[in-house]
Amino acid sequence: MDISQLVFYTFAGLAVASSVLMITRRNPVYSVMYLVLTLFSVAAIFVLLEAHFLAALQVVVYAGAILVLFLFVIMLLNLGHEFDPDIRGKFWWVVGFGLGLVLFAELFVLARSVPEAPESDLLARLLADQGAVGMVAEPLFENYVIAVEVTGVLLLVAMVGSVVIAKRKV
Amino acid sequence: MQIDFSNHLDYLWALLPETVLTAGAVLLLMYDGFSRREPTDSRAVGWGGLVVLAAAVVANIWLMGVEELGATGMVALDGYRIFTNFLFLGAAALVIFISFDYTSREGLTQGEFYALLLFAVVGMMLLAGSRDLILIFLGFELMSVAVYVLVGFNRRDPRSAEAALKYFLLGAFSSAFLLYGMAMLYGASGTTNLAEMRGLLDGASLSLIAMAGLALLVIGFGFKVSAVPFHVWTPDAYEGAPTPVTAFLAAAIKASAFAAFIRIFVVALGDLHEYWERLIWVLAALTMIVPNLIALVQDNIKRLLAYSSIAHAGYLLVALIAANESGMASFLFYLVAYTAMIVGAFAVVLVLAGKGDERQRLSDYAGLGWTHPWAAAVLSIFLVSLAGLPPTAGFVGKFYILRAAVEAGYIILPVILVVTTLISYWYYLRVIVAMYMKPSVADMGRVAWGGALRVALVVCAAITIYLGILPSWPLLKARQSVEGLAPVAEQVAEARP
Repeated sequence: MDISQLVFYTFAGLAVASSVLMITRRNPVYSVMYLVLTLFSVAAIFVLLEAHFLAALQVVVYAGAILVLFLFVIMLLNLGHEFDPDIRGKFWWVVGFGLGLVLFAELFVLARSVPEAPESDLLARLLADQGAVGMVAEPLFENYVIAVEVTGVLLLVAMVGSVVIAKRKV
Repeated sequence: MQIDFSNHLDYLWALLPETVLTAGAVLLLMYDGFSRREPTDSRAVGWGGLVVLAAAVVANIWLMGVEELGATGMVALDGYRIFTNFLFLGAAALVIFISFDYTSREGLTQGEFYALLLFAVVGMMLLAGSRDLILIFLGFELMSVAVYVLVGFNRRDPRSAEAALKYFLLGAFSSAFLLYGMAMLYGASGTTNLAEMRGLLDGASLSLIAMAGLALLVIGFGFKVSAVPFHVWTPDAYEGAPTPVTAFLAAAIKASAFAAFIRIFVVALGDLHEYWERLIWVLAALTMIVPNLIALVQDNIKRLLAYSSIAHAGYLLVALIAANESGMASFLFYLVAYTAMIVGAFAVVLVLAGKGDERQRLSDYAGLGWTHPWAAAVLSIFLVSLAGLPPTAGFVGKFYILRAAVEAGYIILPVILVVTTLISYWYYLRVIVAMYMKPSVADMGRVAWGGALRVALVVCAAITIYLGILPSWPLLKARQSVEGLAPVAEQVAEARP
């Protein structure tokens, strides 16, 4: 077992463990903290896959900005205390477990039918050609430039809409 | 002019109507932001919205002369897109015309109303005109986000808030289904481009992922077009929303979701017809039967029209399942007819409801034929057309759908269509009977008919009658605009004895 495998298993285990902890904590603040840990571990796995830019984005956007937002909302709404679990009664536990099994089976089927992985030197060549940022930016701002623009309009509409709905004076 | 999608700047030209609308809507928002926000300002924004829509119509006419190289760009440049664009722009203009009275009566004088309406139209046009799953999803979200806000626009009314919340939660839920289905189709075919997907998905040996994606897409679209059993949000959302928005929901939103539904299923997944046919067959049958039965006992006119609109989704599903050119042509024809009659019907309901939307019960309409003869006559035209009696657009539209379904070799589905239509006569005629044959209970007094609303009513009534009497030219146009869209038609016809 070489060093990269060791690192992978460490972070993968950390990701799984912290996500399990995240959904089992009763205090929302702890849940968010464990979610941060999960996202960090996933970022580390991205680094192992040589997706450095994605890893940086993961840390900056998810583990940084969005999670801070979560914490803000939890504290603003004063939710930082313990809750009873949402799932009440044995029936819903069984249903939830069943749904989880379905997802797991889906993962299994998908893993079996996925076409063979692309050659790894293809990725390395692209990386050498365009750099980590270019690999993301070039398709984003060339092939999918319309989608990016539409996303911008979508965000504008969401902003205008939330102001219309939520502002104090009508 | 020729559009070559390998040059990314050409997308700007291919999307000219959308660009015009977006720019216009942003300008209107700016104007509204800097104005003093008095009722007259809101009216000015409304008229500005109409000007922007007119500019987009001009851009769309220009688009008719544009050709594309190849047919694999993210944005389609075919007759189908241009036809649906006209439909959405027209429907939005009608809705703006009928909103002036309502917004001033109910005190909804924020100019954002019209800007959001225009943004929703941008979303619809992207939805119906895209040839790429990513853009289709973004169009969906753009349209839906704008409309969630419009449904909850009347902030003083708890019913409006309830409708918006229900619509938002179920809309977000169904978007998840849609996105999951799209992701699976992408996983199975390796592309998000609809034109390429057709060649990549093999109908003979379909993978499990593709089938799951297909099923999830049907569920997602089922929610969006409010097909039974995914329709439960519809009556509440329609009842609580401001009435012009209800008209918009029933006409344009449903039309655009259907347009994308057809583009994905007939264009990209046309070769897989045998896989999705059964599923949609059941949906279509249920969607025709259930709402027509529930509508029989409705006492609220808005709810009655909501169930009627669900039933019409069932008729349109029959056109979809036929999957041939006459099916799609009849679909487009029916959309035009349906838009005119449902907007007209909601416009009359909007005026008669009076301040605070109080008069919505069927008993309020008793004796209307004698106290308000014009209102009753116009409403009767729309109801007769919705029911599908000659000589109105509804009859001709249903006839063409029936013909397309029979051409494609279906027997039971057309029979269900006819039987449910006969059942539906009961509740449409119940309103007419109440208007003409029952004594008036409470005097409605004078109702205010604004000039813009009168124009919209005349236009809707004219379209309804015109399509019913002289349907050949519009149908020819509809048929021309779907030419070449579905090479599947012949294959399906061959496969059936």
